[in-house]
Amino acid sequence: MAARTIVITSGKGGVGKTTTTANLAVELAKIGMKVVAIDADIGLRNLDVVMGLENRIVYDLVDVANGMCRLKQALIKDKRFENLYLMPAAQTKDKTAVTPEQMKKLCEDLKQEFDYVLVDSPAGIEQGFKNAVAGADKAIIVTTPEVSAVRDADRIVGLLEASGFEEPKLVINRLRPDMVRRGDMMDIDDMIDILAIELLGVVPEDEKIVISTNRGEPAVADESSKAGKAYRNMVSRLLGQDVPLMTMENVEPSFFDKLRMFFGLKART
Amino acid sequence: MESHIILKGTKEGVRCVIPEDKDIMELERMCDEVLKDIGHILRDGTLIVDLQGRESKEEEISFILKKLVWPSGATKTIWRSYDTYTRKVLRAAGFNIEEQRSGASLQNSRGLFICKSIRSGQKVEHDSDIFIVGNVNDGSEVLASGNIWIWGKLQGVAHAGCQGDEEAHILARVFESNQIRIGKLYSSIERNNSYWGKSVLIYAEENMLVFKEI
Repeated sequence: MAARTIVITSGKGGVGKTTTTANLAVELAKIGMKVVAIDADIGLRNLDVVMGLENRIVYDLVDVANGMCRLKQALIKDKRFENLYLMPAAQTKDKTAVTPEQMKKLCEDLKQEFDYVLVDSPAGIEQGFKNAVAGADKAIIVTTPEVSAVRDADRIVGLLEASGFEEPKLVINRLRPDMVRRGDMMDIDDMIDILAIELLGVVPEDEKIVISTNRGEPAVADESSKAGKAYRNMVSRLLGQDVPLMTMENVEPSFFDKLRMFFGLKART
Repeated sequence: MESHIILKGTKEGVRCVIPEDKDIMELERMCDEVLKDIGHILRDGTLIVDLQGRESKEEEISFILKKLVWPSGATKTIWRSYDTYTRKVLRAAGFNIEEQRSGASLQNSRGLFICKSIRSGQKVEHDSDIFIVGNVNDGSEVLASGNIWIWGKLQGVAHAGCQGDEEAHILARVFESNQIRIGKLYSSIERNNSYWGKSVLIYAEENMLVFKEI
């Protein structure tokens, strides 16, 4: 099977691209795929931290692009998950350090060795974004249920469609069902109505993500994490399985709801 | 910015579009240029002087007559302007003014029909009416010299009559936009506006934008 190169992008910063890339990469590796995650956020690298591999970086993708080292020298093998590798970004350079052509070649070379190549795109629509999408043939767009994030995601979808990307997929991150029920947060249907692309999955707000990110232990490895479960479901859908979305009833009640229930009152959210 | 008169051949004659921002001294140079390049085409034909939004006072109109219109040898001259003051001056002088176009079909200009949504960051411009079957998303812009009809959600900016035609209108199946423009008028809209989310017709009346639920 030819390798699939997927760029994970968003437009807006801080919506969960890196977290999504790390979790999808780990889950794909856990089910037996040979995966490489590329951090294309040169100058502001984070994928290494989220994957817990930051202390092992010697060479990075800029070194590979400039011929300073061989591809294999820059790849970092994750010791916890078989068949999972990271191609880190440089931290002391910036996004002008590589060209889209160099990124395309890097992805082509990696495709020979891996089943999945995931590219973690930086925020924005300038050079960094252009580098990240250059070598990819599929796209996942991450957004949060906020007007500004959705508008940025819409811009990105437009740019991707204009570049010939077919059927980009959507990940809605940090959903809070209680806020949606109160009408304080956009709901899934509103977002799909605007973005009009296929939904890959919805990740509920989960404080375990903060802990897992800081520890460099992706949430998919934690059976008790709701976000982890969402990412596991997303990988199943990527592989063609029909997995229903997690429903709101599955989400943990808030503290005040638990208090109300304790006193025999109905939950408000 | 343009520093030449733009020439366009049309069915009615040769249109000379005068840049809005150049002063009267530049105007003389530009008129000489036109006469030198295409004087022979204008002779015995129809000349359309298109001032666009330029505010041309009486002195400037006389200048154009002396430097362009009469030396050109054109047998007929039509003036076009969407500046209110200039139109008054031209009308008062009895000049032949090309009337503003309005209504659903513009002469020689087919409407633009788009059957998909317009995404954030995209801009659609057309010299006639625009019909969209789809949404106009937040962060996108639709500009028509004529009317704009949107069979979907309008969340971006729609500008009808963008060349000055205040008789143009906008129709939206679901209105959720923050700003609407017709001709030179514009309206900022708050979300708690009573038309939000409804089907609306928007037109200009007495220098104000009027919203009507349909």
